[in-house]
Amino acid sequence: MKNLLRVPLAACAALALAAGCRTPPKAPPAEDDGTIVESEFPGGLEAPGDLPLGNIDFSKLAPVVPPAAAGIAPVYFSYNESAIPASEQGKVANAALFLMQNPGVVLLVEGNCDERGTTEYNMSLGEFRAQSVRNALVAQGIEPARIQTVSYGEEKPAVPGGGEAVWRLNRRGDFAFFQR
Amino acid sequence: MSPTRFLPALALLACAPALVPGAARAQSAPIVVSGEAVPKGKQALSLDALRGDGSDAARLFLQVLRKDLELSGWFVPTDNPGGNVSLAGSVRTSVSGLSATVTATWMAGTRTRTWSKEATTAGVRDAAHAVADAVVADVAGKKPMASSRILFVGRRAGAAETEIYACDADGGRPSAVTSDRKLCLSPNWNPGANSFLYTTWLTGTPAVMQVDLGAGKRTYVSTQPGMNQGAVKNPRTGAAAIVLSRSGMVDLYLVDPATRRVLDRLTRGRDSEASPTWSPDGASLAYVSDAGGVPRIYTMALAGRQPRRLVYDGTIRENVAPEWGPDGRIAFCGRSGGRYRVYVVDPSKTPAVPEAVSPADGTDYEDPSWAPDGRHLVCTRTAGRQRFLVVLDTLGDPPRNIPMPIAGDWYLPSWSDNGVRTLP
Repeated sequence: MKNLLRVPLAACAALALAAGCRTPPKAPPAEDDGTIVESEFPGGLEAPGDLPLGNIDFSKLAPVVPPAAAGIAPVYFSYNESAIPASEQGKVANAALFLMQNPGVVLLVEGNCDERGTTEYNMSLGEFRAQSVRNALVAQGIEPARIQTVSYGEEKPAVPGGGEAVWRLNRRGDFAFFQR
Repeated sequence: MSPTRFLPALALLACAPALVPGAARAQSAPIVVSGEAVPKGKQALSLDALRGDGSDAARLFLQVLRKDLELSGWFVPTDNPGGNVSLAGSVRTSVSGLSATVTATWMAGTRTRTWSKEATTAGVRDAAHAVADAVVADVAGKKPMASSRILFVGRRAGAAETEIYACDADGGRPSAVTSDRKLCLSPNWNPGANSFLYTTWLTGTPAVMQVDLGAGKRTYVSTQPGMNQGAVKNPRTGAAAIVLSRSGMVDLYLVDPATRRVLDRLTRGRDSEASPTWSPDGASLAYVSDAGGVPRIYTMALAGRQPRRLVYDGTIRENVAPEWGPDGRIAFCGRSGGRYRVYVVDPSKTPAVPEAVSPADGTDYEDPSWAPDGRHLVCTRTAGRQRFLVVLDTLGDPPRNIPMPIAGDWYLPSWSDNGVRTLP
């Protein structure tokens, strides 16, 4: 029953926010009723405002899906390595060609890891992988300002589960294109 | 002595007066001596004379208080009389919601202490935590933790994204703080526990955000290109140590949270750094670096900037995820025998010898975070493919799970420093 009551409460808070209320009311603390409070701040935390100048807000850009003929595919890495294997270099060349043919497109290179290792370590490793791809694209003539990197560490596996057959698909750099 | 070993002694104590007339006084002698000589000791705490009025609020208060006192590690609550200390008083509903008066009487009856607490219906848990903290501080003479809270990352079963969650120190009142449906990680309480820092992928790339819990507001703290990770505020200056990759290398930086300006670069070179944590006085930090080819923990004084390797134990192959505790000890996660365990080490000792505080049970214990009592730690335990929160006791009580009411992965906890609240 308490969960059912929380839904209209959250809806009311959202309406209050839409009406100009800047500070969302805090939800009443739960008793020990075995439930989880869906949000301490019904209606959500106040939005943080726009990103500071110089940052690309990718959440506000339209994703671009390259045609299959462009040959865009994830770049796979060896275990605990951030160097691009020779067998994967062609995929980077394909991405560079697509960016050259589409000057209004920007790229977010997403570095990912398999689940082995700690969260923080994999975040660094994913960043190095993304930067390896970015550096290779810049070396092929792409303007650095058109490419940003992001690491998801082990948090966004392409395939859930364990074992080398799964891990090799999760050690990757993904290409996410957006219309500027 | 563990609570389970202690319970038979309590049962015997309860029966003793009936079995041996006139023996009550002798049997009520301290069962467990608390003091410097027996640091792992507990005191029997009689609750038989602490009564509620039968209302839901009073029942909740008594239930939370009893659990808090047990979880403190210093007491074994009992409904039998004759403990080392007795709590008496009344808990009843009032105009405002709840009124509690609790009196502690030491065994010999030579000393008493009384606390009174009024609470709204919504504040019953907080009132119970506050009284528990007062009892721990005054009766046991130890740092309390019941009023503190724990932040952590949660990924509900089947969800791709994560949110930041919070719960009380006893695991009660779990709630979602964010509701962005984006990836977010690395929550770290700020000193005072009114706000915290975390990394969010809200706009597609990572940024460090500060959440002000009182106002429900959040602001950007760091939006550098690349990584913005592991942010933690200096307890003295307020500057945040953050892992950034803006130079193309992964290094530690100091950032002013108010202006987002990079104040200083703390490390340089091709090595990767991670997981900064400040000493209690804010003069030094500990962090992870793979400078030696393997992730290891280093300490560095802000004045001087000379990194010093913390652990030289060859049986611990990696050591990561340090957190500097309120009493100066550092907890960290080390890999030994293919599994991660939580260790505690005193950096002021030479050599600094780590002591394992998590069991070797074939599961992984990671990401330790100190309770404000300097005795307990919360960490992530991974069993199979499931991650959940566990509280460890550096004095040897068994690990305690923090169960969540819904299925999912719960990890990367941060325990607040807000453990001491004074009663009116």
